[in-house]
Parts: sequence; structure tokens; C-alpha cells
Amino acid sequence: MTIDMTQFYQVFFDEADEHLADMESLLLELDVDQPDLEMLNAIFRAAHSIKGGAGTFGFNDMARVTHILETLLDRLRKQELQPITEMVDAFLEAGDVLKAQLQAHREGDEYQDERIDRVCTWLERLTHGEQSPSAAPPASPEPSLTRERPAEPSWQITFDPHAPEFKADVHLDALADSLGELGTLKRHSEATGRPVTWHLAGHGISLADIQDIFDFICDLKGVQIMPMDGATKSMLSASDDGDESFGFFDEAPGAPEPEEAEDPGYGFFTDSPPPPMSAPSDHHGEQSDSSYGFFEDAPGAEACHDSDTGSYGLFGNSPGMAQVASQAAQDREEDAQGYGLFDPSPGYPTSIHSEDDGHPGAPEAPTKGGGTGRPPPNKEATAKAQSPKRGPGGDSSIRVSVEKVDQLINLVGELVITHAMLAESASRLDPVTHEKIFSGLSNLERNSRDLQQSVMSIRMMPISFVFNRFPRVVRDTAANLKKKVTLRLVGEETELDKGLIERLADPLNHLVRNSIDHGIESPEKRLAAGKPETGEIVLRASHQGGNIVIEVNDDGAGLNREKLLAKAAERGVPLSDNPSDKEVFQLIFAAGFSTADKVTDISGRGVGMDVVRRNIEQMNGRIEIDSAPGQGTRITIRLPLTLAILDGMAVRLGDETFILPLTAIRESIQPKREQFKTVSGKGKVLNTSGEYLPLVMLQDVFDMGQAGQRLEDSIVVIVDTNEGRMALVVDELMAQQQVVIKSLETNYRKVRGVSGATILGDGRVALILDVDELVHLNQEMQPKRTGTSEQGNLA
Amino acid sequence: MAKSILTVDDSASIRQMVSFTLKGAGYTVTEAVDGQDGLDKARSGNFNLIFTDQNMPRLDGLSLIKELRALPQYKSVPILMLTTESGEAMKAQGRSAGATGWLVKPFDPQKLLEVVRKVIG
Repeated sequence: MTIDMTQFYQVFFDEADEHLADMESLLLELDVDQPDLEMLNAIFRAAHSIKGGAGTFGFNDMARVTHILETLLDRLRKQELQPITEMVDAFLEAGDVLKAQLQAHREGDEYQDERIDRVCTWLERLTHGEQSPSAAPPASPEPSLTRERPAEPSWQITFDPHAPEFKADVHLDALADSLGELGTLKRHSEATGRPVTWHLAGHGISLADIQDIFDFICDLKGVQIMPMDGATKSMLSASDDGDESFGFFDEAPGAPEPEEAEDPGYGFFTDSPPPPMSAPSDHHGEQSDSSYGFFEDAPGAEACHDSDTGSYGLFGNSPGMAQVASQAAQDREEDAQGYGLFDPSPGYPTSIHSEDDGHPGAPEAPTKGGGTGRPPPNKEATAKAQSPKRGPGGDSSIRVSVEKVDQLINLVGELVITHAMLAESASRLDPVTHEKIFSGLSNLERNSRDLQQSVMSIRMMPISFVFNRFPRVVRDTAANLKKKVTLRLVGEETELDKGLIERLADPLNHLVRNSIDHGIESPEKRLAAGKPETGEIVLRASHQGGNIVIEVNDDGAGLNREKLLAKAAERGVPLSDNPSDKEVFQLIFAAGFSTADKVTDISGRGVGMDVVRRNIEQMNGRIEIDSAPGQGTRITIRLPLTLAILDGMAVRLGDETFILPLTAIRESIQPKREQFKTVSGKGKVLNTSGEYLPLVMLQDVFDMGQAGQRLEDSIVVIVDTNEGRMALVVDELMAQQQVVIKSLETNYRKVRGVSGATILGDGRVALILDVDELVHLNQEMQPKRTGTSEQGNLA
Repeated sequence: MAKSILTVDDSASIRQMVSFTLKGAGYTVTEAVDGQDGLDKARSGNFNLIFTDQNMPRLDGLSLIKELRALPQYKSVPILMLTTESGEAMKAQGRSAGATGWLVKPFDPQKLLEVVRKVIG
């Protein structure tokens, strides 16, 4: 039975990802001065689990790194070593290397970079209690004296020269000569005529080099080539060439074969205790692969013996051994009845395959194990040979491409529109005579709403996917700037659309780095200001109504209003006479605006904040900033739950219907005549609770001709924009509804003041208003309308 | 009746591999995600063989074995440790905890089956 290992890869990848993420977050939490033992244990376990999986599934490069990592962690958790900050750096670097390796394996590749050797050497040095002279990792991979590390990298090559893939006239000697040119070749057990295993050792031999040679003589499928590293050597060699040569009944406990002694695939100790196995070079002298001790002794005697194959073992006299013994006795019985067909001689019969099929008795398992050999642990070989399929354990979740989900969301959108159309048509019918149609319609409405919610929930992911990168970002950035900063995450479980999550990462990254660079003061300044030495950044996510609100808080120096105003004057940025704090703070989102005294490599070049704002606006979100001098700055991002569907308010203006995003609407009022004023330079304004808001007439902005009704008969909707609030004049508020966003850009072209379009129930297209753009458009209108403005042309 | 095996490992991939391999060979397999889960599942079931990882959250492999050995129905059921090390110290600990044997990780499915067949047929 051959088992396709590739089917487990995906689970392993996901699991390793998780472990790496865990490890990183634990490392970042770790207090080096007072390490929490449980935390060290958890970090160790994460590394350990990755190593176990990597080894099992043949990702030996990862197994090697994790092994070295684990060795150091083991010493830490046993308190043989005191953790130092440099170790955390090394662990983080190792985590990064492992991530890269994992990513490469996901793509069916292998990560090759000198980073791997560098971090291994670094970790090994730390394991031996050495610190690097500087915090940086050593530049060149120096050979280390760790005992696990082999002197030379080596490869294990297993192939069957008699297999059909091989050309008939292959001379093993010639092949050996070719391989010998690459490095030192060790040949084992060719005489048996079964698959042979060779070892090739030497520096700088790549997999491709070996494959090239075999490519000449056979299909590469027939050849298994695997690297043998320090981490895995003992295990791999533990079962290499024993496959060919085990005999159940041969009594040769005292005749170990020197070559095969290190490879016990199936040998059992008949004596106890077994010899120490600490070093890979250790040959198990007492062990013979031809001495299945179990079977030689009297029935039941097995129970008293240790058996040890190097890769597994059984403790004599331990609980449970009675069962093993009875099983063995049964095996023997079956053998006696003629099921055991093994040649008792150490030289193995060639007719192994016929036995496999013909006799499903107890000895079958070892035969198969020995006969078919290990499955190719290197991924290329396995992937080529077997089609990937998923294991039965994976059915609790499935992986679906995002496109499929998006398609589903699109279809649900169409369904919502279709329903709206049907309802529209049905509204002309008599409800009494068409009762069934109406009840059907209401069912349809409910079902499509449920369907929509379910489909949307597929795309929802907890925001921790973005938040989790920040402990690292904060640590690295703070260390870089020699500041002390802690990060607190609140509301990580808040869910939002996957598309938004991905697009949030960059803006948030920028904001956080900015907060550390410009917000949080240096430890000295903080102490001088009577604040705790360590600054704090809080990332907070929450649902508020139909929105996601994300805050980036810092307890730093806050924004300097005077500095911003001076900068604005210097750059000629237009501002009102007595600007509000909010207005002033919004300046930092203007392009090319930086008040940093000096440009650091973290931030301060003035590119960024405007990009951040643009990114957020593209997600139909908005960004606000609050700041108090000496107390800190809070940046608030408001986002809709999803990109595909918008909660909107349908408003009528003349014959046209527009959609206003609900997130933007503050309130709507029926204005009185005296509330309308005209202010020089600002055009018409609305006075509401003592505040004058710019009044936007959509008719003018969109050039729709004369207003249909008098201003005082209209409704004014107050909306939030990035430039502060504004008042939008509409004829009628129609209904609050969810609309499916259709891009105007892809279907038509970009139109200023409009962020998209949607299809209404009656089949007409309604434009979704972009309130931020409307403010700008309105400002541009001013000179035309007032003609006398001096400030109007600044926008 | 198919023999039933409990595999205790906090690594889902290893668990799946073990489970898939053994199910393919006709055994009934139950998975447990850590030592505590393993103990709970062992208590409510009757297994012919138990595989356990060593390093696990909540309850580690050695403690699990000790707990199991204290239960009457697992006094003499084979319990094998899946471990990444095969040093003497580990073996001594395993033996004193009451393990029947050990199997070194990484192992391949053939090896696993071979051991299982050897132990419970």
C-alpha cells in the first residue's frame, strides 16, 4: 500500500503557518528578563510541531532549521541558558526563513538562500552560549561544531536498476563513476538486485546535478534523491538500506554487518538495554537486522525483551507487551502454517512482490515496508507520481478560490435586483386576487436576504489577520528608532470582508509606523514630560452600526497645530480664517505634507498619509484624526462591512435617483428659509445650530438644469466629508436600502462626484454619490457662481 | 471487529496522516488533539492501541500515559510514543511512564503500519 503523502501537505502548510504565527506572537510577548516558562514551552512546542511535520512530509530543509531552533529553545526551557534579546532576534529571523521555506514548498519549490545557513549558524552559536559581537547575524556560514551537523552535506539516492524505467544496459559502475565526480560516493547492498541505496557526500552538490546524471539513464520517477542534513540524518539513515536485507528468522545476533549496522530498518535488539543512540555516527553494534528477536524465543518471551530498530522500539516487560507477544505468537503460528515465506538467509529473495499479493498474513506488513521502500519524500517526485487528493480529515472545511465567492456575491446581487424588479411589477397587481404571488415574493425577499448574508459571511475574516502583523512591526520600528513602545490590540475578532482586510494592511502599517515615528516621543522626552517611559499604541476594531471602525491610538506628543498651520502657510495650502482643529489636523493627509523636522527611513517624506487617505476612500471609507497636545493622537478609520454591497439612502432629485452612502449621512433636516445664507467666497451656506455648512446643490454640480422646487421645500441632508460637514440639497428621501455596487469605471468611465452605480428595482440605474468629491466640485463651482470670490479658485 | 486505535497528537497533519494510513489498513481510528482530549476520549472508549505525541499542550504524552495506566481498562493496552528523539533519557522516561514502545518521527506510513501490525495485528 503506497500512501500519497501530498494529500497531507495542505494541512501541514496551514498548520505550520499557524505555528509560525503563534511562535512569532509569543516571541514578541516574551519578556527576556523574566521569561515565562510556559511561554517558552509553547514556543518550543510550535517549533517542535513544525519539525515533526516537516520531517514526516519530507520537507527536510525546514526540518533542519526547526531542529536547530528547537535545540536552542529546549535549552532555554530547561533553563540551561538564559534568554537574551539577541536570541529573540535570531528566533524571529528563523521564523522568517521558515515562512519563506514554507511559501516555497507551497509553490512546489524549495527556498534557497544563504539566509538559511546564516540563521542556522547564528542559532547554533547561541545554543553554545556564544553571543555575536554585534546583534547582527554572522555574515558567513561558518562550519559549526554542533554534533548533529554532518561534516559534509550528503544525499541519499535510492533506485532500482531493474525497474522498467531504467535502460537495460545500465552499468552501475559507470553510473557510480559519474556520481563520484560530484563527491564521495558510498555504495551499499547492490548484490541483492533490489532497489539500491547510495550515499553521495560533498559540498555544493545540488539536486539538479544528481538528476542530470540520472536523466541520461532513466526516468527520474524511478529515483529517489533526498538530502541528508544534520537534523534528519540519523532518522533517514536509520532506515535506508535495511529495506533490502532483513530476515525474520535468521539468528545472527552476534553478527552485525558493519555497513548496515547504522541502519536498522527492521532490526530488533534481543538484549537489553539497547546501546545509546545519541550520535548519528553511533553504530548499533548489537543490533542485527536479521534478528527479529521476537520470533526466535519461546511464545510470550517477546514480552520481556526490548526491541529497538532505531526508528521505533518496544520496551520489554512494559504494560502492553503481553499483547505484542500474543500477536507475535500468532504471527509465528501463521508462519508455521506456511504463511511466512521469507527466505531465512540474510541475502534476500528477489521474488518479493509475489509474496506481497499472495499472502495477506501477518508478515505482510514488514514485507511491504521493506519491499516498496519509503514513499519518495521529495515533493517533486511524489507530486508527479500521484494526483493530489484530500484526506478524509479535511472535510470539515474546504478551500475555495476568492473568485468563486465573488461570483456568488455577484449573483446574489443580481438576485436582489431581480427581486426588486418583480416586486415593482407586482405592486400594480391586486393583492387579493394575487395573494400567492405576494406571499411568494415576500418569501423570495426573505430568502435572498438570508442568502446574501450567508454569502457575505463567507468572505468575512477576523481583523486579527491584519492586526497580528503589528506586534512585529512595532517591535522592529521601535527598536530602529530607539523608542520603547508597547502595542495593545482590541477587538481582534471583529470580522470584515476579506477584500477590505487585504487592502487595510498597507494603510494601517503606515499609520502605525507613523505613530511610532512622529507620535511617540523618545524615552527621555517622555520621562521629562512626566509620562511613562514606554509609549503605547492601541489598535482597536469594532462594529458601529453597519460600519467597521478601526482606531490607531498613540499616547505620544500629539499634533502640533502651530507647526501645521505654519507649514500650510509655507506651502500655500488654503485654509479658512479660523480653522477648526479638525480642519488643521486633516492637513496631514494632504499630498506632500510632512512636518517632520528630519526625514527618517520610517516616515517623514510626506508621501504616505495622502496615499493612506486615498486607499481608505477607495474602500468607501473615511478617515478622521483627533489629537491633543501632549496626550496623543487618534486616527479613526470607518469602513463599510463590504465592498460589494452598500447601505445607502435613495434620494430623489428631479427625475433622478441617487444613492447616498449611509456611512456619510449625519442627519437630514427640513430647512427654514432663514437658514440659507450666502457668504462671500463660499457661496450658499446653511446655518444649522450656529454652524455654517457649505450648501451643495446637486443640480448645479451635475448641471441638471433648474431646481424643480423651492429650497425651503427641499430636504437637506448633512453629510460627513473629509473636509468637514456639508449640506446636500435633495427633493425627497426615498428609502434606505442595500444596493449592489457596480463600478462605473469598468462599465463606463470615471465620473467625478460619483463613486459607482447600482440598479434599482425598476431597472433604472442610480448613481452612488461620492460626497468627498462633491465638496471639491462644489468649491470649483464657486467662482462661476459668485464671480467675486478670492479664495474660490484655490481649490 | 476492526481493532480500534487512538492517535493523540496536537499536529493536525500528523494526526491525519496516521489516521488515514490506519483507516486505509482497516483499523478504526479516533483522533485526539492533545493529551487531555486523548485522556477524555480514552476514558469513554476502549482502544486496542494508543499512539501519543510527547509535546502537547494541556497534558503531555508522558503524563497522559501515566494517567492511562492508572485506568483499569488500559493497564495492558499497548501505548506507543511518537517522538522526535530516541535518546536514552527519553526511553527511560517512556519506560517508567508505562509506555509500551516508541516510534521516531519522522516516520512514513509503511513504518507505522508495520509497527501497528506487529503490536496488534
